[in-house]
Amino acid sequence: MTRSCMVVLGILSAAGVCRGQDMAELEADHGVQSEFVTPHTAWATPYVHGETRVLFFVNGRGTNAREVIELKQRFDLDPQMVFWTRVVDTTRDEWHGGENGVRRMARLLTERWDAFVFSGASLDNVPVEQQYTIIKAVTGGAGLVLVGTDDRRVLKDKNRLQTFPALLHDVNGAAAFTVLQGRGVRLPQCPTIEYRRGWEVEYDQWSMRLGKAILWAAGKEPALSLTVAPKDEELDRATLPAAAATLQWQAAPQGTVADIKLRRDDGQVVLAGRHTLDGPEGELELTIPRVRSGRYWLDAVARDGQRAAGFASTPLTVVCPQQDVRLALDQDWAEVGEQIAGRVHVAGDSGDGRRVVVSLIDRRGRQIARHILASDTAEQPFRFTVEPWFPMLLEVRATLADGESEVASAWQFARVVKRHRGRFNFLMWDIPYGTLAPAAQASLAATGVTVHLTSGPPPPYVAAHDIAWIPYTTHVAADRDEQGVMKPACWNDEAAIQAHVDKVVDASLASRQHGVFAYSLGDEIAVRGSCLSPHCLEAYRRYLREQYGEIAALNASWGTRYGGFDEVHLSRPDDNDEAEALRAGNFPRWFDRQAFQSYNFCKLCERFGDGFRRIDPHGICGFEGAGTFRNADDLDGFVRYNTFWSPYPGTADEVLRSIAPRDFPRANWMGYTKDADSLLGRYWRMITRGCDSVWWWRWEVVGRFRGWLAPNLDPYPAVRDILQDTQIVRDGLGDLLLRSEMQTDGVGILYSLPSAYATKVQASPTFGTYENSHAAFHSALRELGLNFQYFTDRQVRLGEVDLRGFKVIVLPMTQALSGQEAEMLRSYVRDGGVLIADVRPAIYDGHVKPLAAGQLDDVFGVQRTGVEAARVSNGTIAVPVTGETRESVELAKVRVDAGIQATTATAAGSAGDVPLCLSNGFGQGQAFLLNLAMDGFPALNSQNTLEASAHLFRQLLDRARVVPAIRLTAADGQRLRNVEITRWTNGPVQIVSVFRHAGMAESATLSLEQPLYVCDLKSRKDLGRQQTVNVTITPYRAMFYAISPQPLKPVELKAVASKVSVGSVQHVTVTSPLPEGWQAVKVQVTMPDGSPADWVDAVAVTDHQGVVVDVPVACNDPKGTWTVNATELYTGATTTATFVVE
Amino acid sequence: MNKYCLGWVACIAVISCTLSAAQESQVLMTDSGVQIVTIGPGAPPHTVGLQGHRQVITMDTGSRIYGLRYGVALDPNDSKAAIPGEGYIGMPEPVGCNWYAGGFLDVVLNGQSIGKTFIHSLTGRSSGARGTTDFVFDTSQAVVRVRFVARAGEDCLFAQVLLEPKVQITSVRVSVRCYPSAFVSHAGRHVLTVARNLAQGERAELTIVDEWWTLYYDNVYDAGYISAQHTGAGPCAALWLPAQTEKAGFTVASYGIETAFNLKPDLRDFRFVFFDYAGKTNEVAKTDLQARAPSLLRELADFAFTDPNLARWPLAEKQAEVEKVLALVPDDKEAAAQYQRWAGELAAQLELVRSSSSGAILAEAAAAATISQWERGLPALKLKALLNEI
Repeated sequence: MTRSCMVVLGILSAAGVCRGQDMAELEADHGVQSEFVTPHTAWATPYVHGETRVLFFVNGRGTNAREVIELKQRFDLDPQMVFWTRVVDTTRDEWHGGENGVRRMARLLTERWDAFVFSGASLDNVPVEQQYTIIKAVTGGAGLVLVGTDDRRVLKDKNRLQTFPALLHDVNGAAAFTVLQGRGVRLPQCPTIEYRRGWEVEYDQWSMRLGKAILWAAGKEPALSLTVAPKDEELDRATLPAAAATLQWQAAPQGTVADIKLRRDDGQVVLAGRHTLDGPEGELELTIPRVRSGRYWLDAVARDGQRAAGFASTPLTVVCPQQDVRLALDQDWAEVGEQIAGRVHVAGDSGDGRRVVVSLIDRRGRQIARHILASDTAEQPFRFTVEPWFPMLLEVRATLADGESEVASAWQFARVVKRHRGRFNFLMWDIPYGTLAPAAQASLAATGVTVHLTSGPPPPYVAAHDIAWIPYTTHVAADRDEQGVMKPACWNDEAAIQAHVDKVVDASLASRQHGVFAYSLGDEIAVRGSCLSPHCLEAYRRYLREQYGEIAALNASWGTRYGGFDEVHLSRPDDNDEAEALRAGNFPRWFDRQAFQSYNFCKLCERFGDGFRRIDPHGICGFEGAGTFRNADDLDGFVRYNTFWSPYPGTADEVLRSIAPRDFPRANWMGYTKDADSLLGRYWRMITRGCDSVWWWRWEVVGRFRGWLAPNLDPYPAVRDILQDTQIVRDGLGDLLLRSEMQTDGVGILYSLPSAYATKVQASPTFGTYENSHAAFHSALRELGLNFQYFTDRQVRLGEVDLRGFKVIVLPMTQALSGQEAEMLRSYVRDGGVLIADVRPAIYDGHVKPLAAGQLDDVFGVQRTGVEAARVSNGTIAVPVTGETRESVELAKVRVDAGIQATTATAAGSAGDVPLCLSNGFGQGQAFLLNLAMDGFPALNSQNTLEASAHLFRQLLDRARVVPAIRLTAADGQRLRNVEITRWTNGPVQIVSVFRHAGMAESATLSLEQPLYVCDLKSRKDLGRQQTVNVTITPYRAMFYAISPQPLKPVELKAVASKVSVGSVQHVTVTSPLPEGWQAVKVQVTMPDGSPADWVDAVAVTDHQGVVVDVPVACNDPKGTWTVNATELYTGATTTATFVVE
Repeated sequence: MNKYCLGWVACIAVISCTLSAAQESQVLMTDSGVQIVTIGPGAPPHTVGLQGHRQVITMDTGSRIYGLRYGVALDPNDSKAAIPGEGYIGMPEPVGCNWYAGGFLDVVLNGQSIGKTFIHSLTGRSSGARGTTDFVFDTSQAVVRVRFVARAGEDCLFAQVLLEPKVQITSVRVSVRCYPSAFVSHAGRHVLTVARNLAQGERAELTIVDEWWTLYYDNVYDAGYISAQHTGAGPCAALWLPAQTEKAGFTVASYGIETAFNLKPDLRDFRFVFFDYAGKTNEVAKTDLQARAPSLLRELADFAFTDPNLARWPLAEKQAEVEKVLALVPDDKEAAAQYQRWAGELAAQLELVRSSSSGAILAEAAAAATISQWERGLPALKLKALLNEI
């Protein structure tokens, strides 16, 4: 940024110019047009009195705003909304948009409204001018409806109607008022409706009553009076079929008809019919069949032509006192392969033809399995084996039947534990709550959400949509009490900390019974800690014993004279962090304490992990949104002692992807911007950094951030864009990459914990930060089209990494190494390896103790002459001659180390009298010491950097025979900059991503080493056999190609049986034609009428041996020809198989 | 009402002369009120540490929102003086770039910027289908009123600089500053006139007769173009009367572009139209401006900047209205006294305004301020009365 630009921004800031949401953004947030349609009854749409204009003031959080959309689906409304909402990350509420929000409200109030509705928002929170406008309009004839709130200034008791309006007779808890020329209604809050199959029916009733209140208040009540009066409070089933209610009407226009519907409480429509209303007034007996006992609603909608002229509904209860059925489950959850078992109790007469049907029903009402039991005994046991294809939520229903007729029924939910491991997931922070939460959950599932993370038990609607769970079980903090002891307990106070862990674990039982992807120890937590408790001191002593072995070694390191480890103390009794040691220059004593604090945290994580496995043997445990490269965190320890870790995006991702096992879940949080491009940049970065999932914060929010869903429960436009651009991930790329191997090009980089600390002491900070040096190497390598892999100092010490596997090892600002690590690196070079370092390699030991000479000086062919601060200087490095061209890299103000001189090394350049780019042959190998802080080296992604800098790097890497497998060139034939290529292999196929994080679109040519078969995965195009491919680099949006030595072909698909019966499972075999490796296939099924069988919407990853995809056919699924479509990822080709359901 | 909300409403009052429900075609006005802040680091060094005086009035036409901001540092040694940072009349909305939020318009009389005199008054009001914002400066050389008028449903802003000289005016210079589309440098700044398209680095002396509008745009940061740091907002434009202009010119700088007008010093009324095309692409803006410029020029020349609704503000009628309201809230003696006091002040001020004699600008400003307070107090009073009626 230029200086002048900074001034501009500064003055804006100083002026307090606060940029909130602009009007366009506010309009989008308050959008009332929704494409997401939920089950509903069209009570009055279209309506004989036309549209009613209603301005809703609603609470903008959660699903509240969706109530308006739900009303709009049911009534002929022309609504707008104004949100009263919580300002994100505060405890402050305001009109959404702040000043602009009030301005928008004022603008809306210049329009004419038939009614104003306040729900979750108070009229007296409206600014006084707008309050006046609203109340003035109401006194002039508009309506005012207060839902769950009151305003006795306006709805005065003296004006309460003593004769309740007929239309509102069934609106429980309502009060009606006159407000001069206008009308007001006070309503109770929307009832809490527990989730169950058919919950929508009950919501439909509430919405109808709210709609009635609005129409009445607006003076637009129907002229046609319609009522449905039940004959009795309870109907005895034995008396059915019989007239159950009377439909009465007055003022019906000629030709009016009434649509009658009887709905059961599970949503099943058991009766539907149409009656003509004869005459303007009249009544009609409504007869219902012999239905099973339970709750029903009898709905009537009168239509004058196409328009609704009136509507009414009444609840009915059918009882069967003679016979009843009850259900008890032994356990309401089970793992796949286990059993769901229970007993059915039948009370009353048994007789011929009576039987009990126990069914497992999914959220769609599909009867996926059933047992038929005799009803000749009072108690009948049953059991179902839980199959892998069962949904996560089952309605276990026992129905007593008499021949074809159902008598009574009882049900209970049971959960099937699924964790969604081993597949690519999209995780959402938090879940919807409230009565409309199941609708929000449906929208989230439809937009690809597969896992939720939040605290508290998972509600059944989450399971109903087959979404796994990450319980936010605790929030690890390192707070200490006045005595300096950690709260709630010292992590090393065995009894106390175990009790704490057990309490946290036991509180997660409900989650475990749902299906836990991973147990989270919280976000933005403390990732290191220790305290002044005696337990902590003992643990510290044990830790030091493990590190040093002998007390003499510790004394030598610390400069102390302890007789044994049991004598070790802190420098000062209250100096938990050993700040005094740092101040005194006793770096080992300081470093050991820091390292112990990290270790201490890791051991706590391990303890939690063990705890969760007590209740869930498959449990994995870790933390999220914490742990960084910058803070010198123990990244190796995080992976070693946890079984998942999802940091915020950063440099640590590179270490994580390199050292974690493939089945170790990892991701980043995203969702902190609003435009599709920047969001997609974050998304694709996760993919190219080897994440196994994408984590989004959060499902709903307006203001500074935007949720995944808008308040109307539609995805925001940016989210739609994301869904479109990332479709290939859900179509198989995500799962396939989990079974592919990310390439490293033989480049290894060391993450050294002591080196991360060493950059903080003595003159080290003058050379820059540890992270910046690493990031500069990453950038340079990626600019050259290379991939790389990290390994850690602990892995080296434990012999977990074979350095010979690397062609080149990079040591960014690796100032601290143990003797063992130094020796292993020395051997590596001696045996033919290539080592590249920037500055001051190994000048401290593994405990950050300063050394007189660098431990690898012989390898680099230098001699240390001093330990000085960085010298900032211009310099030049001659690039070894290539062809006819002689080049040099000109360096401006780089930080160089003047404390060395070459012994056996040859310097290719200098900065003043300081040698640069020293090359030294050592044994069979070669070592390069740049001798300048890498983050000062000309950035290879900058358009202003001369290509000589890239040539220099290439020459160094050429020495290790590291060359990119794929090259990208710009239209001018030069190296394309600011693009990274990531490669995975899967059998003979290379999967290649080309990703520009930001910038502009640009044409380029992708060149392969030899002609190969190329498929463009995003555009689903087979590009044929090519050595060069013309591409357009699109910023923020990664492109993916499959490259193969042989033509890529679709999979083979075979239905195992040509015919299956209802209530069974069809097995479909998907087989890859490739001799090795995996192919990903999206499998979808359509039913005979062409509608999707959306319970089968799976990605199958298959090889030449084939995998089986289950296609369950429920007992009540349609018969006919079903079609299975398998769309292969590489080719985009769809293979089809059919089978017949009989 | 909670405590927070009360405070907030006082600060962001929506002001209107003729507030009524369901009225069509209004310009909605908001006034932030005066905010006094301590100017922090990042501001121009000569203002850091001083007290800053800020006030923003916005005019929402329904199709565009124009925010106008007065912002200066207060001179601790002279209460009548002001210390502009980068300017004093800014346009923070629709966007902070384009016509610069920190100061986009400067009036210089006889070589002295009026911005060095602390503002006499900043008022905004909505009347009929127009919104008016007046910046009034009582300088040693002239009383100067910079008036901005936005019309309901329209997307441009009419501006007038009106002088009531106290001394002989020998030179009038107005300069306007913009950062087209985004606060970016080294992108692709351009200025389009009817005759030419000038690229970054070029300097232009405009032909007065023909080149009387300018479109400022960036051909990299077109509307919606996103880079890691910035998003293109879209271009901005200005149009003025050739007849008032002696000389106009600019350099297409790589960051901000300042256009200077030397105006005829014997005139007292200088007119401009400003566009902020935020959200519109360069091509759309070019097409729009090219098509509308001739008619806009004619309209600008004839534009009635005088606010008839203010001059003819029906004091007696308003008094009757207030008395009617006060009758419904007989306990509110304080309000009754306040309105009586304002009525007396307004009677004198409006008489002077109608006379158009010397001092009319200040009288009008004072009247506008009083009317603003009158109108702002009325809703609470009316609400109280209305609630009593129910």
